[in-house]
Amino acid sequence: MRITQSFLNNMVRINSDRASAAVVKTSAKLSALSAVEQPSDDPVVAQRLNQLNKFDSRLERLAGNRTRVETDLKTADGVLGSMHEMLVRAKELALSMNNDTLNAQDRANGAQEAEGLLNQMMSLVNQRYDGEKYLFTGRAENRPPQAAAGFQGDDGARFVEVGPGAKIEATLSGSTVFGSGNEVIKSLSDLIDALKGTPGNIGLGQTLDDLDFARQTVLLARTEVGSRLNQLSEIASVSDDVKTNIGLEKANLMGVDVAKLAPELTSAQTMLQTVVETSKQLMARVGHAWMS
Amino acid sequence: MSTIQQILSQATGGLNAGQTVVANASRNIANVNTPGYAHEIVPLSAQYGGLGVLAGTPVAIRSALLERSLATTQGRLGFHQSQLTHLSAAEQATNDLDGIGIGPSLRDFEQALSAASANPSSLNERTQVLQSANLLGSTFASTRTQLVEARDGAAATAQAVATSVNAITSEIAALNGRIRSARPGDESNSLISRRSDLISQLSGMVGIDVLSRGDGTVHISTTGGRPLVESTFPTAIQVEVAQPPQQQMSFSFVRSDGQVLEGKTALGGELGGLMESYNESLAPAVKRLDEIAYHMMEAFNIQHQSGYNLNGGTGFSFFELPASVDGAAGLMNLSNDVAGHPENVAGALDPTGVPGDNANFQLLTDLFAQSGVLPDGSSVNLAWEKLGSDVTTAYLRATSGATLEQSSVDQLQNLLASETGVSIDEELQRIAAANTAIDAASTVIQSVQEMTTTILNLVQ
Repeated sequence: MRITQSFLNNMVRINSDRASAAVVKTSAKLSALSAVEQPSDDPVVAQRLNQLNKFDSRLERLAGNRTRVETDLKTADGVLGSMHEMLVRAKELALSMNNDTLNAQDRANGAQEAEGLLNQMMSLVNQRYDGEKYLFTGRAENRPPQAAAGFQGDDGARFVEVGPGAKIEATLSGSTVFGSGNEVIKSLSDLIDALKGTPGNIGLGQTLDDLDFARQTVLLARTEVGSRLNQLSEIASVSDDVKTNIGLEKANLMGVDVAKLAPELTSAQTMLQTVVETSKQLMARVGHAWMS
Repeated sequence: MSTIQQILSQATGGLNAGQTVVANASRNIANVNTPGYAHEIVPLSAQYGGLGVLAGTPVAIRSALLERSLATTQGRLGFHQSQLTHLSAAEQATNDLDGIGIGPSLRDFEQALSAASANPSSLNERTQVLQSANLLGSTFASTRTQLVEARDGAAATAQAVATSVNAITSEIAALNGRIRSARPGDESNSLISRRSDLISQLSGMVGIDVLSRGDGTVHISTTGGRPLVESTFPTAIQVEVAQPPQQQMSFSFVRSDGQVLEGKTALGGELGGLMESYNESLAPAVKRLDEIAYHMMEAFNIQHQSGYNLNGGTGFSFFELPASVDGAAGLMNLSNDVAGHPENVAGALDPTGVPGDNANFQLLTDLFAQSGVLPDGSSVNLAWEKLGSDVTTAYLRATSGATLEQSSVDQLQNLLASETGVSIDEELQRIAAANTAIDAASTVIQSVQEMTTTILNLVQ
């Protein structure tokens, strides 16, 4: 093969191009945040990363939904706990008032305390939470559950997706919390009437049974809320495990292997240096031949 | 027995031949880096009658086979290489891995809808839905802009390449005429070298077949058989881009007599590559993005219109549906019904369940993964992923093709450089040999002069 000047030029160009490209490529890989920054870097890995990102995003939004539902349920649980305590106090009051030795003034005082309990309960259940919505009205969240005419709201349920393929009821209907006949509120009203001696009252003995029923109703509602909170906790646990695995797989796919790339970069730099030195010698040789 | 006259003639011939060789070697060295230049040699022959050596016309050492192979390979290299810039830009536009493309924006929108489904009576969540929709619209618009820039960039580059092709074919046709009438030797060789360089450039631009003629001219045609240079007549290439909905790039040939020939077979080289990337990847990508945007808005509106807002109202549009599919990705805007009115976002399906019913929010959240939204039956998510995957596949095909062909071109260029290039070592050797011949001839002439002087002295 004849070694011509343009042949040498070509070889210098080709080799320096290749060596420079190797250095640039390896440096870029080392300095990149991810081993795959665009699909053409590795189409198969890129497709998998896109799938993982999509699933990860779905888990994130479901986690957001869980937080929302959990906040509402925990608030409801707190309110139900307070309601239960009020009913316990109301029953204590009814028991203490169910005594023939008490006079009218004692009963009037008892009635006043019972009215206080009722007012507390009404203000508790008719409060807007998060400054926006009422609890215990089913889907009619813009209305307070208790009005002068009695319970208002609906028995419709709202289900919210809180895990992949898992939905949970996020609402509490009035019948669940107050009883199908609004017995919880009615038991307190009846107690007041009995203590005041309002004509047609059902009597203190009966109110004791009604208060027990009301307390059980609230307890059942609280149990229901607790059960949902447990479900949420289990779903969160599974979702967190899945999310952790996704994170690990993503890290594996995207991770820049410094241990592998560092020697590659050194080798590419050595190659480039060799090409430059060889090229210099070739050029010097040509120049020397020409000058001599 | 030679006469003094014959001896002088032989010496003079040797002197002239040596000078010609030295001049030729100097010319070779001077053109060592001239593109398209092939090294020349001076054929030496014996003069009739034993009158010494005769230097012939310098001959350029060319390799028609290698030049033709190189032209073909450069055509293939140009085809793939020309696609890289614009397809790379398109891949960047459709890349979801950077976390800022349409894919992540779709997920953000889904997230906002899902959050609203968990708290449908919240105006705050509804406002987030509108903000995410606006962001999605901006992302669709910017992605479309990037794809349109890549597409139009390919068209502009193709126009520029066609202009260069036409300039080169005109120059080659003119060179054909000059070569035909040039004197053999340096003049002819210089013109052929220039033409060879132009042919090499042309081959990368358009993909050609070259046929050498007996009169020194070349006939150049596209690989599809359309003539580009016939003797001294060039044919111009015209690139045309049809407006939507066709949005296709095509080409035609305009002969020197004004006759226009339709381009039926695909071109090679850069022009062919740009045309293929335009017609097969870039224009379809823009069109598909518009389809995805339009049908997504249409389906979203249909679902939204069947739902109820916070006041129990129904029939509201969510997006302002553009008049046509073309350009829809750049026109994704909220309708006047919902823009600035989060309460009008229809999250409920049951009018009696307002404001707490979230059934429509859930259906809207699931809409992006729902099959059948696009006319070909695919979902929004799948259609978008397929679009990105198509662009990446085209880019990878161009990358691997360019790498492969670059390697072949490098090898062929080395072979050609080895066979036809100038070796300074060789030229220096030739100069040294010619100098020796010149010295010898000078010595002979000097000896003849001394002989003549001696004879004249004897006669006197």
